[in-house]
Amino acid sequence: MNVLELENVSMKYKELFALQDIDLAVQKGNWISIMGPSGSGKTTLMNIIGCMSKPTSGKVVLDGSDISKENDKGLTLIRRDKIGLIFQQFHLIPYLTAVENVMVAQYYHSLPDEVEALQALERVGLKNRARHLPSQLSGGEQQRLCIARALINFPMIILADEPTGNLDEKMKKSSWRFSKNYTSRALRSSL
Amino acid sequence: MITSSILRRKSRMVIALLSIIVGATVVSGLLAIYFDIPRQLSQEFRSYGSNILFVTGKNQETIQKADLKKIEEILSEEDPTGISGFRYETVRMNEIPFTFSGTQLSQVQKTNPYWYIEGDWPDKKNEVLVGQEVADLFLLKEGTTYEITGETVDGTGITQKVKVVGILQTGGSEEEIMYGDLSILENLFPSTESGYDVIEASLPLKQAQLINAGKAVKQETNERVGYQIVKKLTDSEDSVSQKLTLLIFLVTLIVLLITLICVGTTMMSVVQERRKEIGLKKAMGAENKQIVQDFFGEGCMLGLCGGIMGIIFGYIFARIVSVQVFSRMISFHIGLIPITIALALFITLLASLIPVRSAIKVDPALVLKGE
Repeated sequence: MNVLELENVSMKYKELFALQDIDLAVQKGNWISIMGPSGSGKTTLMNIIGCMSKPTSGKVVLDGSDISKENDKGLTLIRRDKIGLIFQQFHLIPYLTAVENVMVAQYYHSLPDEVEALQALERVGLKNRARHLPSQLSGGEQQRLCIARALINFPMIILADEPTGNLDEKMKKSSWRFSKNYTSRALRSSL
Repeated sequence: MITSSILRRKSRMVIALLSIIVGATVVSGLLAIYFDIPRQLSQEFRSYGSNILFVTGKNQETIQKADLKKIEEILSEEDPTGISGFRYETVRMNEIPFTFSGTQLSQVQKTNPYWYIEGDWPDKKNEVLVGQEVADLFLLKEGTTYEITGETVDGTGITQKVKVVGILQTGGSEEEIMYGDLSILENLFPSTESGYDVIEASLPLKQAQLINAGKAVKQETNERVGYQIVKKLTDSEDSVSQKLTLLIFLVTLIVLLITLICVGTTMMSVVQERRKEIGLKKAMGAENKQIVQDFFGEGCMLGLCGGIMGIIFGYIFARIVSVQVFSRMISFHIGLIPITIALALFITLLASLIPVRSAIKVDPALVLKGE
């Protein structure tokens, strides 16, 4: 069964097409990489799948429901319940500790649970860094913190926009391995 | 999360908190003065003498001592500064007539604190105060005993020795009178009905309240006693009080407005600074109302802390102003605590409105991309 389906999705800014007639089908447990040159519309596609933008035309079906017809509030709820986001620039909240950064995602999803958040940090090897601020973590640690935050609410789809762009080779491999393992173990989909 | 947000972003939050503290301090201080002005002015004006006179009513020659007691009873609820009865008779010294006033000098000290006495206030029943003009006329000196003569109905003179202990200077008609205990007049005029010609009272009340007190006395004494308001004094007191309270009210409003602008500007810069964070929260599924709650939660904490500190500093500020201006301590109104906290919260939340509106318009797709 397809978790995500895109049919003839287009995104147009004034006269310029950022995306044109895109079709895509993603099944549960798929681990997909989308590659393309700069300006090819990867981030635009991520934003549409991540419910942060609506396509100009076309249909986006996520978990059986057409999200292209949802209003802003509906998109927010889908984002909260079904999507996990990992960013190239991490986007951690600088004044919150590692565990608090994970708990923020819980707070907006359901209820913050520090024990669960610490377990998530343990899974990414950051348990001993739980009380550190993002500025006290290395790039790789920040990225793993980002992963822990994205996975804490067990999303249906993990969207990672150039997640290893700021990491060295060793860290890149470690991050990929972790995401891939999670996707296959938890039968989730990663893009 | 809100606590961490405030505690770990000290510099920005300290600026916002300082604006609120300064605003709450000035507002709380001014409100303390605003509430206390009528009392302060009333006390200030009490030093200018009595503000209500009780006079003889219909078909009455004097006010009876029993009526003075009744007046004291009626006015006791109003916390009177002083109530003194005066009886005036013409006495003679060396065959030269002058006015003697029999009274209770301990009360006169309270009703007329502006009297300047060279010497001492009388302590004993045969001691008197002499107005400057009388002293000049008879060449009277402090510490010397003199004889004064009253007059009975059949014309027989009764003489009594009185000791001058103080010379009275007021710059007014009081300097033409000798003041002593009422018992002196009762001895000098044994056949005349004893009582008072006028009773002066100094009450910490506004004009309308004074009129009510006067009416109550008139009613309770079955109109044997009438009343007159010393309008020159009460009008001035009311007018000064109104102008001062209006002035403080306007200054308070201006301070509130300035605080609103300061806090609003700071909150706006806080939102600008945190656009990425807001975008991230929205990307993680935060609804607009949750973003609003976060900012208002921070605003509430800042307003609460600022308000509490404003109450403390405001009271200190009001005390300093009160001592400098009125030379007396200010009383603390317990009602200032909820008013100041409510105002601090209201101003902070009001100042956060525009920044919060701007926060909920943040597009996560744009800010997280870095545009």
